[in-house]
Amino acid sequence: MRRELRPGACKEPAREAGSGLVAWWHRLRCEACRRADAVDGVIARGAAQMRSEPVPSESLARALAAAGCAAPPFTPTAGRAGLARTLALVGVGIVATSLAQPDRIAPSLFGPAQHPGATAQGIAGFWALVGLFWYLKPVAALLLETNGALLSRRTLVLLASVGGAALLWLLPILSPHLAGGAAMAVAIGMNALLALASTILGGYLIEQAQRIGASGRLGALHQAAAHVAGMAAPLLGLAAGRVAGPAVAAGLLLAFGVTAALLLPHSGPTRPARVREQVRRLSSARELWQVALLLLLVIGPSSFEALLTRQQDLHGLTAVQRLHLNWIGEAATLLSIAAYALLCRSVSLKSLLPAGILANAGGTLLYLAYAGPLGFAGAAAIEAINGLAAALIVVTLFDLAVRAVPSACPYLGYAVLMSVNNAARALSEVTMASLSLSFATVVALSAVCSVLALLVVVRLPAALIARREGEPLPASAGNGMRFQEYWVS
Amino acid sequence: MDDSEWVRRILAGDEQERSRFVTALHGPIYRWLRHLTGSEDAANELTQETFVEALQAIHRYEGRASLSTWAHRVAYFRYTHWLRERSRDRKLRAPLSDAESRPDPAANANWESFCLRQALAQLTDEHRDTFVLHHVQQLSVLEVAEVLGVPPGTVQSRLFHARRRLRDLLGDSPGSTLSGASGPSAPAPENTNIHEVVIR
Repeated sequence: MRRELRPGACKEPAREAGSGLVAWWHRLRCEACRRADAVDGVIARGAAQMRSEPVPSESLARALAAAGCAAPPFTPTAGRAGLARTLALVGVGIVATSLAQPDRIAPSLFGPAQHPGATAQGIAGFWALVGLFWYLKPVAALLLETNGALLSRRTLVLLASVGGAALLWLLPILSPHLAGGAAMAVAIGMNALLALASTILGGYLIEQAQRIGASGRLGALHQAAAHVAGMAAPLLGLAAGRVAGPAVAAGLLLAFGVTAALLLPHSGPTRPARVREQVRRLSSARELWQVALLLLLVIGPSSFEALLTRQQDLHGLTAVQRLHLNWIGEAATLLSIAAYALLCRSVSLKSLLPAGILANAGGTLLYLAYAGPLGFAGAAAIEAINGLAAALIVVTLFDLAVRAVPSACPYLGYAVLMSVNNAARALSEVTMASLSLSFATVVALSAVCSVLALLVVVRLPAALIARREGEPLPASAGNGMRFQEYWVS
Repeated sequence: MDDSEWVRRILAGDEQERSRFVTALHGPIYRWLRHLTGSEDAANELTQETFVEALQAIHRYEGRASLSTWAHRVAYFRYTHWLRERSRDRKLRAPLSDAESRPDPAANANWESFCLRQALAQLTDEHRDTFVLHHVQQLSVLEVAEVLGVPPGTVQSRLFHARRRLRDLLGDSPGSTLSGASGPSAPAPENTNIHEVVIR
C-alpha cells in the first residue's frame, strides 16, 4: 500500500528513496521530509520519556498489599546488616536527643526555677514555650519531604543540627551567668535543632523498618531508648550538676553526631514532592489516621500523672517511695518492651493489638484500688502490672504506626503521629486535671476509652495487622479486607 | 525461567514469585493506566485491581502470549469496565492537566512527552490506545492485537492513522503544538522503530 499523500507532503519520501547517499541527498533538498523526520524524532523521544516517567513508590506498595504480597520484598541478608546499623543509630540518637533537651539534664541553667519568685504555673509556661518546636515537627518534616536539596543531604542536615545544639550547650559553660531572655533563646534554639534531628532520625527509622521489615523490633528499641533516657535524665542531672551538665549534653550529642556520620548513608532519597501532593498523600492515608485515633483513645486518657501523685500523697507515700514506684513501673515497662521485641516475630498484630488494649484497660482499672487503704506493696504491684500492660500496648501501637506511615512520606507521617501522641498526652493531663473529676472516674474513663479503641481496631485493614514482623502478608488478607472480615474468615 | 514456569510457581504458592510478578509488571501497567485514565488516583486504583484479578485468574493463563501481555489484557479489561461505569468518558480521558503533569519550563527535559501527550489527547480512543501500547509500552503488533482483542491488520491500520494524525498535530499543521519548538534542524530520531508502523 502506498503512503497517502497530503498537501505539503513529499511525493517521494526519503525513507522510500532507499538508504545511503540517495536518501541523504533527498533529505538535503526536501523540506517536507526533514520536517517529518523531526516530528518523528519528537514522537520517539516523547514516547521514551513517557516510558521512563517515575512511578510513585506507594503505588507499588499498595499493589503488593492488595495482591497479598509482602511489601516490599525482603532481603534478609541486607536486612540483618541494615537492622544492626539502624538499631545502633536509633538507640544512640533517641538517648542523645532526649537527654540533651534543656529541661532534662540541667533545667536549672535555663528555667525560671533559678528565680526565687517563680510560680509552678510560670515554670510550666516557660517550658511549654521553650518546647514549642517539638510540636512543630510536622513542619520540619514537610520542609524535608518537599525540598530535594534537604532530603538528599539529610545526613548533613542532621549533623548540622546536632552540631549546632552541641555548640549551644557550650554557651552556659562559656557564660555561666546566662539568664533571662538570652537563656530562653538558647533553650529554644537547642530544642529547635534537636526537634529537626529527631524528625530526620524518625523518618529514617520508618524508612528502614519498612524496607527490612523490622517494625516491631525498631519500634521496641525506640520506646526502650526513650524510657532509658527518661530514667537516666534525673540521675545524670544530679550526678553532673550545673557545671558538668552542659559538657555531658554536648558529649552525648557529639557521640550521636559521630555515630550518624559513620552509619547514616551520606546520600538520602531523592523523591521531593510538592507540599500539596504531600498533604494529599497524608490526608488520603486512611490507615495513618486510624492509628492516630487509636493513639488518642489509648495513650491520651491514660495520662493522669498529676492526679495519681495526689492520690499517692493522700495514701501517705513519701517522695522516696514514689520514686521507687516510678522505677518499678519503668523496669516493668522495659521488661514488657523486651518481651515484645521477641514476641513480635512469633505473634501477629491481629492478636497483640486486642490483647494489648484489653490488658491496658485492665491494668488501668487496678488504680481503682486507691479508693481503699493501700500500702507501698500494693502500689508497687499496681505499678508493675500496669507498667507491663501499658508498655505492651504502647509498643504495639508504635509497631502499627511504623507500618501505617505511607512509604512516600515517612518523615511527615512519623512526625504527625508523634505530634498526635505528644499532644494527646499533654491534652489529657490538662483536661483530666481541669475537669475536677474524681480519681476513680478518671480511671474508669481511661479504661473505657481504651476499650473503645477496639472499635477502631476492627476497621483496620487486615494488610496492616495480619502478619508477624518481617513476614509476607497472607494472601487471604490482601484484597482490601478489614480486620473484622479477616478475623471471621 | 519462562512465563509458564513462573505461573506454575505462583500457582504452587511461591510468595516470592508472586511478589516478583507484581513488582516486575507494576511500572508498565501503572504508567499505561495513567496514560489511559489521565489520573494518578484512578491509575492506582486500577493497578491494584489488575493485580488482584490477575493473581486470582492466573490459573487461566494459557501461555499463548507473554505474561506481560496477559497482564496488559487484564488491565485493559479493568480499564474498559471502569470506563463503562463512568459516563464522563471524554472528560476523564483528557490528558493530565493539573500542575503535576506540566513539565518544568525551566528544565526542558520532559517537553516532548508533554507535547506528545497533548497531541495524543486529540486522537480517537482506539488510535490512542493502540499507539500507546505499541510505542510507549513497546508491545509488538501481535501483542497489541492480543491485548485489544482485534486482528493484527486493524492494529497496523490504527497505528498508521494515529502516526499520521500525530504528525499533523505536532508538526505540519499551522499553529500546532510544536510549531517553532522543533524545526527542520532538529536531531534525527533516536528510536527508529517509530517508522515500522508505515504500511507497505
